[in-house]
Amino acid sequence: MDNQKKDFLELELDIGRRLSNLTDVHVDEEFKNKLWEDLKFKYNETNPVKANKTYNTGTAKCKKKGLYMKWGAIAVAVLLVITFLPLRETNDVEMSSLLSPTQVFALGGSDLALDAGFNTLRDVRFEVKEALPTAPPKGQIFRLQSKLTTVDDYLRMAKNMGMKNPEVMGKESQESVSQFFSIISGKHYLMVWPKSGVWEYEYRDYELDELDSDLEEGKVKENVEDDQKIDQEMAKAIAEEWLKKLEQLPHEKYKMTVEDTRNSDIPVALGFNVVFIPESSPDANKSVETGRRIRIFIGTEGQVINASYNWPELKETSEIPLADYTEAIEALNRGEGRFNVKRYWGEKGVASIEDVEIGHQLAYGIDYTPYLVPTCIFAGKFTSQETTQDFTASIPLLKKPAMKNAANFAIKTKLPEYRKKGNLIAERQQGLTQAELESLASFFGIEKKSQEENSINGTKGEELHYTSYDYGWLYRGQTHTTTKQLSEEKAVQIAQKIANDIPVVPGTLGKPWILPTGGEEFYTIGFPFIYEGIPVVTPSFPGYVSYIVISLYKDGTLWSVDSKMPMEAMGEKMKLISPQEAKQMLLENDYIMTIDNLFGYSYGDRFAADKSTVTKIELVYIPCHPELARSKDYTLMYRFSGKTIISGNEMDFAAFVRAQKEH
Amino acid sequence: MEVLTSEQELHLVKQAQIEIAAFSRLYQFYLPKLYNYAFYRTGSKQEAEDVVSFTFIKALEHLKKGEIKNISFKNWLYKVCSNIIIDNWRKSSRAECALPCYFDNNDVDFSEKIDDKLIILQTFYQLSAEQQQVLLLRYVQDLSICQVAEIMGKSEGAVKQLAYRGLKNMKERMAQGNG
Repeated sequence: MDNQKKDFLELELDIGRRLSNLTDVHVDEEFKNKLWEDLKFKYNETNPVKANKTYNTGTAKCKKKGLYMKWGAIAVAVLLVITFLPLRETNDVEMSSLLSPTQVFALGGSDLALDAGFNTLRDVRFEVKEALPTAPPKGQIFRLQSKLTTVDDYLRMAKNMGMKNPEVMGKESQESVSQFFSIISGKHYLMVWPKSGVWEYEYRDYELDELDSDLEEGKVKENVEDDQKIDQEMAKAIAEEWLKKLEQLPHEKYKMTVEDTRNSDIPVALGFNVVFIPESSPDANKSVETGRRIRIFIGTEGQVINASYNWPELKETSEIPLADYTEAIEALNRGEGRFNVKRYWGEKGVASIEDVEIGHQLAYGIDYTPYLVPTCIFAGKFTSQETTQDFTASIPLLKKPAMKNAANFAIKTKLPEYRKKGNLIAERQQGLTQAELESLASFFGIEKKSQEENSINGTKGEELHYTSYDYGWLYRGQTHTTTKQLSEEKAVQIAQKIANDIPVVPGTLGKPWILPTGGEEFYTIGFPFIYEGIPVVTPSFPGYVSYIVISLYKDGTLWSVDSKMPMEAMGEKMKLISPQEAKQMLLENDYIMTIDNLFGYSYGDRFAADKSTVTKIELVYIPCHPELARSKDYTLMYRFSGKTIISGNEMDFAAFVRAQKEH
Repeated sequence: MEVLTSEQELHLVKQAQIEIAAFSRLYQFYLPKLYNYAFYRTGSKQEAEDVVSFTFIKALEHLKKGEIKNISFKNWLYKVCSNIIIDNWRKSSRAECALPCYFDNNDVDFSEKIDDKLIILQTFYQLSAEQQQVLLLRYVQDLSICQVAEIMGKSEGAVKQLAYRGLKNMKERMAQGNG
């Protein structure tokens, strides 16, 4: 045994053992439960096997999950929030309605994109310091095409990667193959999004049975740096050669950058990150981060470890009218577009625009056809909290539709009665009072075993406590096994009876719906809290913000009651516009829309559809910052919901029109 | 202590694609482990909660897409968790955990052998981020060198070297009284 190995073993016995004796950190039970609730919801939401079913509300819907690829799956750099554009007047390129990246902003200059749409978290006012040149009235839009289109194309490429007997996963469903599939062979793993032409490759240097943890002779190297057998130029050549072998080297001019990860100050695999970006194509603009690119990570010994590829080739082009810079700046001030600075945490500031240039960025059609759309990139200085730094902000220059009612709304329901004023509400700011706790404990028949300030434990294992993350409360009953199964209708009746009798409820109860989270063991039934006739809803599907969930074992025995995000009146009232006025605003494209299964928000002034049928109109409370776990402010909006048809696809939508009367 | 064999884990991962109970089992089993790991790496309860939340959300998404195949779920979780921590550091331009927030946390019981644990932790947080990661995974999380190598995307030799240097640094610092 050499000295180093002996030394290592001694160190493991001493320091290693002391490290292993460090105390376990306990997971907060509330956090654990809350996260599990979220995961359960997400599980059922994304499970194509289970439908999200409403009960007796007249709005039952069976989601066509998996019809559209989740945007997050494409590639981080092109995470999009969606806006549709009516480009039907252009004849040269046959285009579907276009989804364009207009409302994305990046935190800290990273690729992390958050959607905005209601009140954006970005509190930046864009100003023009000096007069900008006039924007060109027209610009080019490009339709792109992936070089590979079929599963066989990708299988051929997989073989060129060195994959022997590659196996296609996800072939079980034709729908799945058309959106995403993977090819696996030994340590090679290839993920493909064929519609957009994006693929990712990974060489996973491990085997499941490689479990040996002991030191092996000859494996410890004197110095990690000695691993490096290639340099940057060699890495570039290897990356180029690899793409050539795959017949994926871009035909257009490109340039390469190389990052030597040995210089990284954070723990990453050692090697070279080779990135290909366009050199003279429309998207060859360094300011626009959402262009085409290829990244290949070359290991220290010259092997390709992983790669991501997003380089569909230019196919067709067409000239389209462009918006002017004033419109673009207005949109940025509304919170749309990308805003890039080195550090930004949502603080208030002023972005003083000094320069502008036009580039192109990637955007996708509803059928995932990739396009390069004209985009303007503003640059200047951003000042906030007495610091000034450079910024860029980019936003597509696609012109808004001039036509009224571009979504082709047909109202197939009565307008609600006009309420001239609505109460303002806020999330409850304190936990249960002692009296409320006692009253609930009595209602659930808990025989106290122990009691703390905000919780009571029962002698039969029951528990009741307030939930600190939303100042709601949670009751859990006794564990129970059953073989008997009631019908859904009967379970809803039982839940309704319990809900009606619960003593601590912040509003009245709305109609019940079955949550898809009960699984085999439970019926989980939700009741929205209604505040003077108005529910608190999320802008995205499905749901409610403030509601109560009752879980029953399948035989009808109560398991749990969870009162979520109770609200309280603020004592102020908001003057409201009439439903007729709201309808008028809807028809004038003045709304924000969410579409089931699609990520983010669509703005009415850039949305177009073949047909949209409104079947329900109601006043709702909406959190002003739906992207946050807790929202300080809530506002009232008219929600118009129904079905919209875009390029032959029918989808559920909800269009929100602000209800507040302007002074 | 519950143990999950790799065979059981593989079975659960497969089942979890269609059955929430299987996913629940994986969640119950791995949440405390990941939370511990994230907490010791970030030194913050809040950050650890954020990190494990993102990790499980990602796990769920990948499970549903059938993308966690031919890989140990455990290794995958730690890898994703580590990447999220690194991403957070990148975003905040922070290269290491701040020690004080660790000691502010009431969820850690230091009543037993507190002096030794304090010294160990103080020295531990003086190591490079990579060395911290290796030591946490290897000795606190009790993973094999092979698993650590997979999680960190490094060769086993590189991991052993990092572990060796990390332990040696700690020993030297403690001997010098710098801990």
